[in-house]
Amino acid sequence: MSKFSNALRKRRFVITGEIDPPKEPIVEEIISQIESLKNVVVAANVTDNPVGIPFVSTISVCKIMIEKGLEPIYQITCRDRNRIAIQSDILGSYMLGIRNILALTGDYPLVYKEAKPVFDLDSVQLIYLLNRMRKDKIDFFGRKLSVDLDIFIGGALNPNSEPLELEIMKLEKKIKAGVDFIQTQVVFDRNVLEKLKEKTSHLDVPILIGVTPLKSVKMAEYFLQNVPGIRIPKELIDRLKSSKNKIETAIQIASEIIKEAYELKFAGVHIMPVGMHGYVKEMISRAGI
Amino acid sequence: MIVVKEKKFDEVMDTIKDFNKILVVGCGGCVTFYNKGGRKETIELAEKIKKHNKNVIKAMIPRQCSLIKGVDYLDTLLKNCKGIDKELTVKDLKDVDAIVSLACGVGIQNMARHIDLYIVPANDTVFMGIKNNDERVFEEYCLGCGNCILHLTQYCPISLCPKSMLNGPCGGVNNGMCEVIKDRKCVWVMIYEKLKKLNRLKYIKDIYMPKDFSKKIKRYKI
Repeated sequence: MSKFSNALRKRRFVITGEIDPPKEPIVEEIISQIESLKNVVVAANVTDNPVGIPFVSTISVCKIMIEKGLEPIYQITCRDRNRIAIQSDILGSYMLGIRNILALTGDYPLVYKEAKPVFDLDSVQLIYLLNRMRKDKIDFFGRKLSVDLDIFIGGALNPNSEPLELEIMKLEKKIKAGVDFIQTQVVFDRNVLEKLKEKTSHLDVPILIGVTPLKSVKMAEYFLQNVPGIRIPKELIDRLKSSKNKIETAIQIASEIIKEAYELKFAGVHIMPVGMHGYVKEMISRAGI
Repeated sequence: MIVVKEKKFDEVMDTIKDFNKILVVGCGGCVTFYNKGGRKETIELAEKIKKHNKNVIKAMIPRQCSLIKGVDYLDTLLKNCKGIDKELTVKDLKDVDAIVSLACGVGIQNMARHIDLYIVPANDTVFMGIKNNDERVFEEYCLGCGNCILHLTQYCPISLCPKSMLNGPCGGVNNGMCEVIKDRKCVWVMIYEKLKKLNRLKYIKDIYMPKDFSKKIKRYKI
């Protein structure tokens, strides 16, 4: 059983982080992120070529994390691999000690548009196949497996999505498919959290709220343009505008969201530090939970 | 409808540069309905080609994808081609060097099966689609995947979603719009709204299992 799954089962408020694989094979860039998050978060996600931009492979970063003592959550998308490659990677990663998997459909390749998008499966189907592999010991193609797979399967949710009812229907499908935990897209607005709490009160799945430190008005604008449906309260933008110490404000804003998620009794938070790995500890301690 | 768009005229001319006697033939099927390969366009294209010192005959075929078979290719041509200026005779057709067809790719290939003459397309075939609200715009609505699920969804997520999502929208749905084709509504929002109206939301509550892509290969012949 992974440390992460154990923490969620104990119903503690769980905090996960995120490691961004570098563009080039420079181990030091990974190590410094690991050092910042180790003993601060229970586990950390490793992204899988976000927006279709290639970085060093997710599995290799997960392996380095295991060696350095930070538990990985292996993000795998359906954008670049068909079901044969996904199964192969999942089983290969298991051999390396990777247990937590976040199953995603993946962003469409919007930057390097010349690449062929695969999308053989979607996230719900991937969760279903992974759960079946664990529960019934059969692989994606119905072949019997002799090994017990102690994997912990996650899915994503966008609380900013409209219509939210449709997103919740998809969440219900993920639960039906066998998902163990949910990590959400980044949230900045307490109203979004309250609405999500209300709409998911009938569901028994741990939800970790996505938190990102907002460093500047420019970053806020980037989110508004690139994260579908995202809401950033005007009050936050005003605080950023008048801020004399951007880092300090970013830490403060992130800590407030963490606190709100805690107060609303979500299972935890998932902090995506985007370069601010060194400040994650401070964000958490300031939340005072 | 099968949707085509015109090739550049120079591109068409380049393909027939080695030939003299050209039969320009329109199609009375899909392409006639949206003015890409009917009588009028056939005449226009034929006149343009004529200006390049070619001997041009113009004709219409009711449907190039469905030909009446003759005893040989000449007889097939005679049986199917309705001359635009005059009735066509064996003499008109027997020394044709090449055919320029305004039909879709299916029509052209059907002609190739029955008529042993070099055929060139005047159009590029793009997709199976219907006209959007704006009467001049066509949108793709079917990929011919051989695995129809419209009884569950009413609109096709395989053709209308860039990721072909089968279990709901991706995280990119932005105020109801697609994140990839930004001016188009997310097909999953279309499906959701339609089924809600029909009181049939239950149709999309079950997990839709991974698609069997072998059907895509098997479908070439039915």
